[in-house]
Amino acid sequence: MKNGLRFLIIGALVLLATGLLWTIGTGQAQHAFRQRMDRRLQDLERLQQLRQAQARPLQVRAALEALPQGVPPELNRLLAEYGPDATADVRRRDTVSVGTGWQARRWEVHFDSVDLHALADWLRVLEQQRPPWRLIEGEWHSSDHPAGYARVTLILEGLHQTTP
Amino acid sequence: MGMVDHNTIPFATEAFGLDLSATYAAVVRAWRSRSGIQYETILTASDQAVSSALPAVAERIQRDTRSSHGVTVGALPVTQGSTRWLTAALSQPAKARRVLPSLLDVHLPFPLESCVYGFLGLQPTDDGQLRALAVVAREAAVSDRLAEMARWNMDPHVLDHEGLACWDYHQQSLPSAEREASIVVYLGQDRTVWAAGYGDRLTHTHATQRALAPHTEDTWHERITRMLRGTFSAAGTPTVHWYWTGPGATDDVLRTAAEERLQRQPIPLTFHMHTEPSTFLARALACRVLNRSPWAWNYRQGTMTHPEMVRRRTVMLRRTAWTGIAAGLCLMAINLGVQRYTQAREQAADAALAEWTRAITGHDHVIRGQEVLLAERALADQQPTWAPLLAAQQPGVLHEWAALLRAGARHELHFDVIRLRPDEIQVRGTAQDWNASETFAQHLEQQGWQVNLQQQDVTDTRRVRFRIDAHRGGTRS
Repeated sequence: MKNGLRFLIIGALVLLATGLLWTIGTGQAQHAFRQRMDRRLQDLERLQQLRQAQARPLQVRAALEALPQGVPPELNRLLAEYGPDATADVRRRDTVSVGTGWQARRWEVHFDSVDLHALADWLRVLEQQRPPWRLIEGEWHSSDHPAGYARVTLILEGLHQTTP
Repeated sequence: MGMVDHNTIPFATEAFGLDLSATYAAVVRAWRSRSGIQYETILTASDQAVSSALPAVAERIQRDTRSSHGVTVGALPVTQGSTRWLTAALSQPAKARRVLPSLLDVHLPFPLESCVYGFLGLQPTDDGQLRALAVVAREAAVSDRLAEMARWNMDPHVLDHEGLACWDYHQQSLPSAEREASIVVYLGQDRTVWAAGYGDRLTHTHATQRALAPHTEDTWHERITRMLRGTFSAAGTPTVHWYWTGPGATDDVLRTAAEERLQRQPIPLTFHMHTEPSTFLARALACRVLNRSPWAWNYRQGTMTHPEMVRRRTVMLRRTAWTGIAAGLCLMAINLGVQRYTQAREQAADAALAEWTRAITGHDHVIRGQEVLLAERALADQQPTWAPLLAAQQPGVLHEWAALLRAGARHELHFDVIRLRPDEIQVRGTAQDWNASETFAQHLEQQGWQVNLQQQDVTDTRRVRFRIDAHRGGTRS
């Protein structure tokens, strides 16, 4: 066999062996690649979920900021206009920051004796305000009161925009 | 020379079988087709016609074999070569192959180094040894035969063994039953060849440089009777099937006379004749190459290999090498492509992860592989500020209060105290009976509250005093 042919055969064997070994390596790497890609896809899915979770409060804030006014109507005014015919003691409670530019302010409203139907109507009016007033706690004592009346203490919360 | 190397039996799609002697020539062209190997008789000539007909045939053969994967196959007369079964007391083929030449050497009257030889059909025996059929001829005999054929302008690519060819082709044409004794007799113009065996296994090949003719009959019969006794009598064979072939077999008178005389010897014989006996050997030679029989043999080995075979082999090796190079390069290109593709996909996925993480965290710096962790931490940090904002969108406890009042009225309960928080209800009051407060408690449970009910009879009002403490999980503020 001539040297040229011998070198050709050796070259072919070397190239073929290299190609085959590379293919085996690629085949093995494909398994690891699929695992890495699966992990990345899982991460991507998780990030999308997190982004959705993050988007919800942003949507809420955007909806609030779209309102024509950044503070709910004053409680005393609403009480005077729509409240039950009873004396109320209104006190400001704590304030919680709810993100850039917004605060949740809480107020305590106490009635010694109040018509519960009228109170319920007033609370519904509060919830319909924009931004709304929200009843977050309440305590009703009806003993020693006529039917339909009770001593009531309410905690109301309203969102207030702190910056324009 | 060494063991039979099938590389010396070239791949061919067309073969010319040459049954050539000074007094007789038969040339057959054989080729593959879907229905098997086809044959075309190109020449059958006797005596003086041989030398006049052969040049034209040789020219055609040279032309055909040059332009196609055709080969020419001649035969070395049995008188010039030999076959012998050898048994090596070894069970490993590789070791047996090393020992067989020494075993053969013992049986040869001339040095093994001056011979062309090989071993066919290496197989285990019943007692765990290995046996093989040795085929051997002196290099000088092979050279002489090639020189003889060259005088007829014939240069065969393959030089086969006559006896082996006859037996092998006979078995392919008319396979013998197991253990059936048979003998194939090639009756030539200048020689007679016998190949004998049991079943499909060849045991002996013999030849005499005498044709069966009226003036040689006695010698011929004496020789054949001796061969028959040596081959079959010891085995106690009941009937030997005798197959006539060769140009001499077409002489009915001579053949019938021979059969009558052969019947007088003690071994019973049944006579048959192959179809187209005059071209039998030429067909056998061509057929063995085309179907690459395991018993195929070529005396043209080593330095005597046909130059065309060397050239074809070189071409084949070169093509194979280039194919290997192309395949190797293709594999590398594919692998490179796959690597690039996977890298691109990984980079795209990393970029998407980083982009999502940046969108969530608000930070530009994202550590690879930590995307989810960073995002979760960022969200956890943002959570306390979001909770009141999200809670602001939730309904307050007003609807709970209204629901309590409706349920209380339905069950005729009287509430003294109601305390409501997003995750806690405390109710004190009186009910008509135990069932009423229990039903009210069940109603709360159905709403998802975990309820603790306490009841106590009050004798003066005949009502049941109850207290319900209910709570549920959650983080509503």
